[in-house]
Amino acid sequence: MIKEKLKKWILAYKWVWLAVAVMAAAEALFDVAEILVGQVMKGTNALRPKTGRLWLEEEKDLAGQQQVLLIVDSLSNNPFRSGPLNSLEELTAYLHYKNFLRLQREDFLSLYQALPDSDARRLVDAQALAALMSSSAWQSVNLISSDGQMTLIFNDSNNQPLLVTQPFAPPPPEVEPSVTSQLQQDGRFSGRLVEPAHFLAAYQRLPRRLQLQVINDPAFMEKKAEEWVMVAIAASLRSGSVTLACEVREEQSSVIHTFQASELAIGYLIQEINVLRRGAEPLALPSKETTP
Amino acid sequence: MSRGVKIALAVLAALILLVGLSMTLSLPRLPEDLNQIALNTPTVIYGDDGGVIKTLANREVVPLHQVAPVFLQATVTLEDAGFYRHHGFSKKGFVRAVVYNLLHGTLRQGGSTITQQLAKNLFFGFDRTWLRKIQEVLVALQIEQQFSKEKILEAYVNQIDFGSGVYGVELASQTYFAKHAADLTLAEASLLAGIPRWPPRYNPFSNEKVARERQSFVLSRMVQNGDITRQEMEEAQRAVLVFSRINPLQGNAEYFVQLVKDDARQKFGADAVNYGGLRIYTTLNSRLQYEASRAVAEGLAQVDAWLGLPPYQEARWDQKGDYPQAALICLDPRLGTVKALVGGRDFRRAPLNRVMAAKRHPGSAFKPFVYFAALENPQVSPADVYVDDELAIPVGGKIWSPDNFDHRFRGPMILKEALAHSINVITVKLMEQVTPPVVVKAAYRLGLQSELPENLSLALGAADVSPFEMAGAYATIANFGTRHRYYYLMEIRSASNELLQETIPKSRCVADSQTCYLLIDMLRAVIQHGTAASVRRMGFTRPAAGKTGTSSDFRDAWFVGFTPELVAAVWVGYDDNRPLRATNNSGLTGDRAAAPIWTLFMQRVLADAPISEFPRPSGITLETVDPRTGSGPMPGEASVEVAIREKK
Repeated sequence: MIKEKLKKWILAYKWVWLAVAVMAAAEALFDVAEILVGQVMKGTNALRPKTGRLWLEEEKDLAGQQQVLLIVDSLSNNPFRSGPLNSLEELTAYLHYKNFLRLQREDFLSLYQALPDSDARRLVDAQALAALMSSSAWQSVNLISSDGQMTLIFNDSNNQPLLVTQPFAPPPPEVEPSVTSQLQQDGRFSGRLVEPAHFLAAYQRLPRRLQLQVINDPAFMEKKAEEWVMVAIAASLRSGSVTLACEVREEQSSVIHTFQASELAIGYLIQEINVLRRGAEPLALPSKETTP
Repeated sequence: MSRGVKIALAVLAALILLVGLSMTLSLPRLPEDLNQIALNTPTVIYGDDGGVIKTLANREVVPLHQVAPVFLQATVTLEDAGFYRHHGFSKKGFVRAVVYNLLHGTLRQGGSTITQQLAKNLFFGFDRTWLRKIQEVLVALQIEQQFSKEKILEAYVNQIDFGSGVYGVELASQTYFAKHAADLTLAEASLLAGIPRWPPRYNPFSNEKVARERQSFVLSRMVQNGDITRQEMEEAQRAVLVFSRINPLQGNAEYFVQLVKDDARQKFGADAVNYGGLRIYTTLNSRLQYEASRAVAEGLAQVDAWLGLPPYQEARWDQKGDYPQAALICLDPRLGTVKALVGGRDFRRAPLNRVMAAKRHPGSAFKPFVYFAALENPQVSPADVYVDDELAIPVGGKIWSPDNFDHRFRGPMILKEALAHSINVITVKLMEQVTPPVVVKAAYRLGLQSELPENLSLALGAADVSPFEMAGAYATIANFGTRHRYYYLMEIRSASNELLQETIPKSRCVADSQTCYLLIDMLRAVIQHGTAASVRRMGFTRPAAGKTGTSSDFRDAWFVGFTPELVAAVWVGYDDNRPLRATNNSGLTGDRAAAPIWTLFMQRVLADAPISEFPRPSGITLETVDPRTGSGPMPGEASVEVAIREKK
């Protein structure tokens, strides 16, 4: 009975049911079409161009990053990011603020040339700089500001100091009367004399191990450069070592200190001295011991 | 079906396929991440404490869980109630839009889903054509297939336009309510959700009433949708919304940011600054900057009231140009840095940075330079007596008779009192004695840079100078003669931390500390009992020195002052040089218009700082003298303490 009634009722509204069924089918079909189109779009994504606002913004971002890379590149030759330094006063102010600055050889030379002559010479004497430049050992300079004092340390590739200068150090006390070198008058060292500046620079270039084989007395090497009068290296070996004579000022006169240096270390030292004295007659290596 | 028809149908189908394919292939490619635009590293400007002053991006991306759920509900209900059910396209919305558009003969009704709107925001412009509509739908269908509903909603709320130049809900929350998107209340969320449909109209900054009406509409839709109850709606409608015109989260330093951007662009180019992800470190202090903006806003509100102007916020855009402006610059005299800078009252309406660019007459604020030049001569003492009387100076065949502000002459008085009460006649006499070229040189030495005329009227401030210069020159005095090259850019670094630019502080000694102290002592009297006594009346009790300035006919009102810690210069005036005249026709002086801003600022920024005194250099002694005779005061007579050089 109920079944009959239901059937009648369904048949009475068959057009409504048909319409509902058609709409549901259309809806489902539309959903499928939406998904299908979406999938086709997704599948062709990689083939499509990067156009539209989003990609334009992306392009601008890339351009900006490229621009920054160019700036970084262009600045790589300029260690001073606050603008060029044109005087020793500006360098001092810069260092006072930064405390420490490490310059590569070329950067230091650029700075040296940018400063007025008188300022540049205060950083390092032109002759000493020429000596440094004549060797390939010099690699960098550390500029340090401490207690209002500026110190420049010229280093080799192992970061070993070759030369140390202090532009604002008080001038050395005047030494009067000047001391004449005893070594210059000593016939045993004829042709074997070395200017202290060259000796000290060459000594600084040696590795620490070799330095100790030249003068095994670090305290002696603490003496200020201006205290040195002359250095001489013996012409021949004696008992397997080379005599090194260092003449230094003490009180009103000069005193000669002798050291027995290793032949090997002296060999390296002379090599460095000859590099520094380029143009002058090279200093010969000490001759081997001869049996009396 | 005949063979011909079959062929025609096949050709037609092939053509449709071809057109469809070519159309598909011409559509933009979707990125891996829908938030790609905002993901590239933006350029960021930092303050002195490492806090962000400004991120040079107009949006800030946040994940969905950092957005208040009520905002998401409001947005979905309002923009696309069927968002979670459709595949990117709303048939119902489409049919409704087609009917509407056919009836009205337009394409105004879009029926766009959130996904379609996102597609439009990411790739398309705003032209309303059927082709564009189809393209949007196609891209929306792909977005739905490629990304989850959460990702789509996240990208949408991070991309939409909220007016005021901000995009994305996070920056919008910060801009309008000074809070993060996660902390939005129902009232705030419903107001924000209503903006994107038409940002210029529903922007609460420009049209609060309309924005609140829109908010009510959003709330009622939420009730209809069952998101909230009627009671919640009513509570949200009643809620008082506090709009933040100063955004402490993103900074309120638009003038400063513009200055920094201009400098960086000049040095590195616009692309690098706008898109290069630079990190710009500045000396600005966010707290001081916030207080500076607040003080300027409050001070100007009082000035507006005196001038009979309605509150600035209520004024129409075109009326806002008729309001007076102000500038405030704060320097740290010891470090040589800029700590706060407000270049005007409203960057969007008047972006000229008056701190740097406005060259105005300083009026009496110039007088300290005259006294400084005089005091550099050890023979001149603040206790020296000059007579304030009628003066006639022949200038170019005419007679110039400088008058005092109140048109009264006070007779003999010591220099300290003359400066405290800003006596014009005595300043001109002093200028005549010291000579204008010497004063000009001294002013340049202290830090002024603008062209200064070498004539007697300079004594009364007849020269064009900027607030930045004035603050810098006063800072040299506050710093006892050490002049800094004031800077605000500390370092600029690339995104990979390469140092691109740095500032090395530069300073030099340009004046004797004793002379500076004598002047500081005189300028303290200005605040203590002179023309800037309002500073003390407002309750500022710390050691401070300064000078008011009012240019002729009340065109400029100045106050430049300092404590041992900070120097600040404040200028108030109209951009077009109109006089600052109150409704009762009285003119607004530096004491009335500028000094209160200075005081509000200093009071707040130094509230927790320990009190420090101006250190007295050796060789200076304090003496009590009669302000009229400069000699020891008679019992019962007025007396004043004066710093003088010790006699050798």
